Amino acid sequence: MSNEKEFSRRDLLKVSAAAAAGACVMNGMPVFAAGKFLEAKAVEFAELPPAHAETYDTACRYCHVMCGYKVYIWPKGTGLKPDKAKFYPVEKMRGDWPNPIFTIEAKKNGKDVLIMIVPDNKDVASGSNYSVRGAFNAQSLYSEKLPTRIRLKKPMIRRGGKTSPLVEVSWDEAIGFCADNFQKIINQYGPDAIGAVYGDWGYLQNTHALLKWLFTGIKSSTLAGNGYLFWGDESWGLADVVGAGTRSFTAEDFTKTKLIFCAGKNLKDTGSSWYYQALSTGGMNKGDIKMILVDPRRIQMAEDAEKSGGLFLQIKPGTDAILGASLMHVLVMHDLYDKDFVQRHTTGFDTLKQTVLNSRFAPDNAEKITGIPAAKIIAAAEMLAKHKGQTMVLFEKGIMHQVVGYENEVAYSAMGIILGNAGKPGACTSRAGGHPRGTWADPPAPNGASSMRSICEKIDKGEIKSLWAYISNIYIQLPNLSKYKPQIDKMFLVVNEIYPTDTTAAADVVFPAATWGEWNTIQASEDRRLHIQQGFMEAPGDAKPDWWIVAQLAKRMGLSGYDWKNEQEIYDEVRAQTKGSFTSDISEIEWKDLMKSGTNGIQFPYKNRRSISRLYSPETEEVMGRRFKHDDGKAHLEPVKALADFDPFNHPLRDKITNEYPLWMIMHRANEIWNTGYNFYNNGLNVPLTPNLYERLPEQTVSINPKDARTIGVKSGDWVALNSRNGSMKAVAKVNGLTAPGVVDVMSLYPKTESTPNMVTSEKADPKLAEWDRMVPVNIVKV
Amino acid sequence: MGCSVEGGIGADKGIVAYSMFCTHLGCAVELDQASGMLVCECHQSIYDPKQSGKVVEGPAPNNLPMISLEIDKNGDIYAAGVAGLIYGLRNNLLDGEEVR
Repeated sequence: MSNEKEFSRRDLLKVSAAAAAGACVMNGMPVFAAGKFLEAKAVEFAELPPAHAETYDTACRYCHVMCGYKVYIWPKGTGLKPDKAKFYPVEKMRGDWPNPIFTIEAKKNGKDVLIMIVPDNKDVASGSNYSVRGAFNAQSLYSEKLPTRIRLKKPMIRRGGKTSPLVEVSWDEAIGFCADNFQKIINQYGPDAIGAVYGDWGYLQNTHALLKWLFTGIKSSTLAGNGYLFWGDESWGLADVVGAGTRSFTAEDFTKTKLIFCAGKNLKDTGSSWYYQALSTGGMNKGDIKMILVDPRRIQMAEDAEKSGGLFLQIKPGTDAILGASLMHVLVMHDLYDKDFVQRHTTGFDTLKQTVLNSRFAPDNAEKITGIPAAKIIAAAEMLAKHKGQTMVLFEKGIMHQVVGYENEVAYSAMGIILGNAGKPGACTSRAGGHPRGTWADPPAPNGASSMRSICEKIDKGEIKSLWAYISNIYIQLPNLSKYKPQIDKMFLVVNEIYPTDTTAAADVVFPAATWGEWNTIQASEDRRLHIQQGFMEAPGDAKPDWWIVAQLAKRMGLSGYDWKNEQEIYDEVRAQTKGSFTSDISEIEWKDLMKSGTNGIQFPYKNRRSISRLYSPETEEVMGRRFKHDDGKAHLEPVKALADFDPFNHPLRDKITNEYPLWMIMHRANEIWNTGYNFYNNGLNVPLTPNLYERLPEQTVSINPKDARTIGVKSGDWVALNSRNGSMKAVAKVNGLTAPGVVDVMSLYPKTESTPNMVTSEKADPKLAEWDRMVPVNIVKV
Repeated sequence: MGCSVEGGIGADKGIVAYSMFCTHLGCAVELDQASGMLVCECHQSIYDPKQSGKVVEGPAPNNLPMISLEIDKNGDIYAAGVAGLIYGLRNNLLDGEEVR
């Protein structure tokens, strides 16, 4: 560049511009040209929040961090005008620069308003950071000026059965129609013929209303979904060891720790703000924190682990229990574990010792099963030993959503505990977390606890006549959709939704729901901070909160106990039921306390006006009377005996690799697509809802190792079909080195029906966790 | 450059320039020689200079603002404007005056 005189006037550009160029080789992937963003027109904030703006506190609804956000609302045209100062007065590295996408135009009380949702620089849990999910919080609000204008606004029913059209009706008619049909089914087939599938994250008041109606109202035990028994079922292996599946760390641990051992969890993409705290604030990028990453995929975290001075263990999917046992083999064999902690706080060490010292878990033998070189297993054990009592042992769905999930959890849980990683600054043995928690009071199921697996069995037997899809898109989430979707299509299907979807298209009753920001919802982060996400705008049309819908239905069916006047009354009913809960007591947290807690919420268990920041800590013992949740206050190592005869690939429920199905398909959660992708892409009308996010991932993709790609005869950009014994799905091939030969990887819950992985999964589930296998033998063919 | 980039200049439209401030939290982005991508040093957002600064991964909510370039008759290159808003700024104007 030249002409310094001319350019000096443009000093801003001079310091901002980084010239770059390269070979413009597109890899054949579907991309959206960024051209529509390229026009060099004037861009400025139309308005900034004035002093009279309404202000609200909220927390993001997507991942388990629940970053804090401030909401500002003001009448359009009354905001502050940007002055001539170039820079908005923010400090670098904080999220409170009001990026234009943080502000939308909407209606409130019939008037045009601007709504800004901006990361709160006082939020502790997020470290004032935010993810790309939360960045689009404002863009996903209802507004006639946004793609969200397609929100459901009126109840709909099919008056004449499946062949009649869905027509908009009044709430009174919709509730009456639904209540009458439910009652007929109960009268003819009994209450268990009515099932519900719900999202555990779907806000405390909503989940409580549904569980109360189902279990104590109509007395059905047919419940499943992403959530129920989440805390004691999906986490059963962890719970057998420490007493509960509840996450035990606090956000600060991500900067205090010396070593992160992370298995089956892409923390960078699915708990972003905590990962950034470890990476930047905690200094993992300088080696101050080391990381051992266990994953079948060489993701960015693998590079970060190696750069930190840690290790990347590229494991064969499904073999985590063997790795965990082998690590314990080395730790016990060489007396590298925390003897004092084991003696004082555990039972069953002799059982563990006898199990893991078996020569089948020696690193040389473990290498043959896990694919991880023995030297790396030994190095990992030594690193864990060096940082015993200073390590966050974290695992999540990558190891849990398998038919051998129980054994995987037990192995890593016991390994963490014998190193004393529990209840100390920077040390824990815990699930890492997925979505926020939205369920507290768990009334007992009247006929025994149900599960996804038993719902599938009941469908197979023709015992379920009606399903209520409640805060879940079952035509994305359920296993083996190729088998179950046609059967569910024939049922009396009731759907609570905010958008028209594939599932609402098949429904007999559609209830339009009000959602985040439209009333005072409650969720908790996975470091156990209870938040009210304050309501700040109206729901579209006649949409109502899910709890209100349940209450109307229950009352129409003649049930009592559903006269809640508002969401606070349900909260008060729920919190009273948590009194005495070792991990989740919120009984002393009053509504007004939460409303005053800003964006930080209040951490639980909460007792005697005191929050416990780390479970299984000396503080836990002091306040709750014991260290671990088990009645004896100790961690239990006896469950390790489950590993004695464990063979991950000869599990009776695990599908087998054959010549016909030679590849393991695994899946991951994409950063941009949360829950069922309901704010990413609408599969009812086939339109992107947040186009800027959608253009990053406009199609499902499958990562294939180059060696496999040569065998199959595909290249990047080819459309392929992935076929399993259960069904078929479509994806675009990405030939890369992400996975080892024999393993391919897709995005879970991708919200296009023909490309969603549950079209090929099996419903066979771990008998203890009730989780179906997300490892699926497939073949791939070019289409 | 031998190939064109939308928004690029030069005979082959292969000369491009971008803001170096990540749209997430304003950290500097750097050209990663191995991948040819612009990568944020703080939180690992990745932008593709071959796709006009499109963000392809990470927490950044916006594409990297592209600098509009012009070439005069002598072959000198000028920065003439910005497509998009640079992190931390109120507008993409200079002293209240529109650049183009």
